[in-house]
Amino acid sequence: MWNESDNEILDRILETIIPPSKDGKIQSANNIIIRDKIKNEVINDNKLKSLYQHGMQYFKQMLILTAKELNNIDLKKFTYLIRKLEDQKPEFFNYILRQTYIAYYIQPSIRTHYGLSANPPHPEGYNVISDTVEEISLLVDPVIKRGSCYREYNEIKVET
Amino acid sequence: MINEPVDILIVGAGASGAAIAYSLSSLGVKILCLEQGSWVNHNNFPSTKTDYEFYRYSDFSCDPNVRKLPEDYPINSDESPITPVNFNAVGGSTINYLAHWPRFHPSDFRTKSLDGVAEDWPIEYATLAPFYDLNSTIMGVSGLAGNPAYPFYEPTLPPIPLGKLGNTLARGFNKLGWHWWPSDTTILSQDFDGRSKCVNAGTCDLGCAAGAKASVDITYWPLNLRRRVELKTHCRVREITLKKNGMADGVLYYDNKGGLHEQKAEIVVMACNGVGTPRILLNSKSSQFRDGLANRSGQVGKNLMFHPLSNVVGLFEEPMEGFKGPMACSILSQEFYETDTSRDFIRGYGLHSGRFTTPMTYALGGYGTDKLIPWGSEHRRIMDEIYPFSAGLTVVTEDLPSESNMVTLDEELTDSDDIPAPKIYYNVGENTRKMFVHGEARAKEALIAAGAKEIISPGGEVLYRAGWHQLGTARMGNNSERSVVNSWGRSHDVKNLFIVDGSIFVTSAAVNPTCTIMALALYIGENIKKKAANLFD
Repeated sequence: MWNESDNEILDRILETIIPPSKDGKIQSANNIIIRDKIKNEVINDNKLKSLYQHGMQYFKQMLILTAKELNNIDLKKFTYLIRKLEDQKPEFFNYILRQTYIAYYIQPSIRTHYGLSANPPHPEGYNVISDTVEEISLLVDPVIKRGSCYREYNEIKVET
Repeated sequence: MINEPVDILIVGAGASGAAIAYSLSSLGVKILCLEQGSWVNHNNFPSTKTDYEFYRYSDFSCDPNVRKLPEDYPINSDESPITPVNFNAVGGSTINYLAHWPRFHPSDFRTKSLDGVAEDWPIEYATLAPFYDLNSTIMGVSGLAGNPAYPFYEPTLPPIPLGKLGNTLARGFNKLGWHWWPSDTTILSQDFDGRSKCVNAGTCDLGCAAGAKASVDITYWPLNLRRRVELKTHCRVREITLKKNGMADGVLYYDNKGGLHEQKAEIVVMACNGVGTPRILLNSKSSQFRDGLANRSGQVGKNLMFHPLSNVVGLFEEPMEGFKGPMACSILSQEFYETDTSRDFIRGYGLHSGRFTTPMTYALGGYGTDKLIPWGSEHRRIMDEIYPFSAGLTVVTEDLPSESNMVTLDEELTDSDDIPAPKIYYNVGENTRKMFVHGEARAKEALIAAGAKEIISPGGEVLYRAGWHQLGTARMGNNSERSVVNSWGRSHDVKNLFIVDGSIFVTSAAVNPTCTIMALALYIGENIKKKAANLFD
């Protein structure tokens, strides 16, 4: 059910969903790890397999109608085709989109780009500088000076 | 199977069940707690795994309808813009809660007398104050004494670091002359009672592998077990059984192989949260209680309150490092907490400065929604130019009780033991909507005062997975026609049935409720002990 043309089309879809940064420092979602993650999920789940086949078949038909080779379709046209896919096959497209986001942002290189650790957050965690007592006192001083800001009440008979 | 009778049977090993078990354990009687979940292994929490973020959308989702673990029961939220979230295990939702620990204000107990809305509680702030304190010493509360929004109290430990985000926002509040204060939290700022301090991993919702976040499986339950409270896991209670004299006889429950057990008890204590408790009561029908146990008032399941909330985000010039540090706790402004008659709404709200989140969670729509951010070039722009520079304020509103907001039993949906699932009927009230308009505008002001260059406002849209706080569905009161339990948690109708979880709240306040739920459970435990000689009079 999965052939080389699927790989090429999916790679192009992935790259369009999450493109690289303009300076090229951050990669797009077009990589073999993400594609294989989606592929493995699809081929091991009958419901997903059916969803994928119908969605991909629709997309391939749209490509045929463009009468162009995949590599000759420019970004604008390809983006238009994906928007049409999103509109006409929302369940399939949302599956691809969600899986792409998950697989992309789980990559250590992407995490570190955003300042997170490449490793699990435990046990190292992150360094957050503790405020000294003096620093906090200085910050809350204006709040204290304004006085209490809750309502006191006298003993009220409760009727409930 | 018929089990050996016990003196006190507690249903649920979460926050309230753990607290009342601790309180009652000094009686030296036979106490058994039944929990539908199991113990969780802290060494195996998602935050120790490389793909930790993914667990938010699978086994560690806060939503039982996503998680679908064997111990979970489904919840039908088709008629609600907010769905209840929870965790079913020893420790309950303290396993995945965010550990924010604000107390109620004194006025929260007197909304009818002070503001003419809802009902007054049959107890007051001063009643609970000693139990707030006791609970703090067991859970380990970090915070700063002297908060002018409260009568004086002293947290156990110093506050957790405000972080870059908290510091920035605090300066904004100061510019405006508004109240703010470092958040009280059960996340440790220092090593305490054998637990290590917070490492700022930012994954509180995925369980705290450091043990810095107090979940009751690592605070109360070790104490309870040492005091010979028995805890049985994988026990899902179907119904409470009745004696001919109208007293509770015990419960029927299923083990995890589907075996049905009968457990008799002299006293039954319900601690299953504001959805789980009315579910079991409504499912306990008999000739004496045709509309569900302890429901002669017709109030069981009614008056469901959440805390509808929305996030207002500001964009700053520098990266805000929002993924570092405890997720929900940095600073809290209660400038607009109390009623101000010049506004067009009653009661008030808090502005909570949580931290931000990780890239995957942000791309998938943030915490509590399923709305993915756009794809294509816009995706790149959002993730590179917005996400790192974002800091948010969450408007957490007081939800007023309404009988039309309720938990009922679904006629078709069941759990794996064929027990009817809860069905939620809920609408966000007009008063709350007005609070959102006011709150989002004030949040915007605060963020701009703190230096934000641009604001992203949700326009009153509430988060779907915001049903953490399930309150009011078996409320306290002195009037048995308007409430389910009395001023110390005993059912008006069934004299040996107690309820100790969030369902007994009369009003919701505008703060996270776990601190008050546990103080209430300790207070009820103390009353049971004091009145032991004539408990059923």
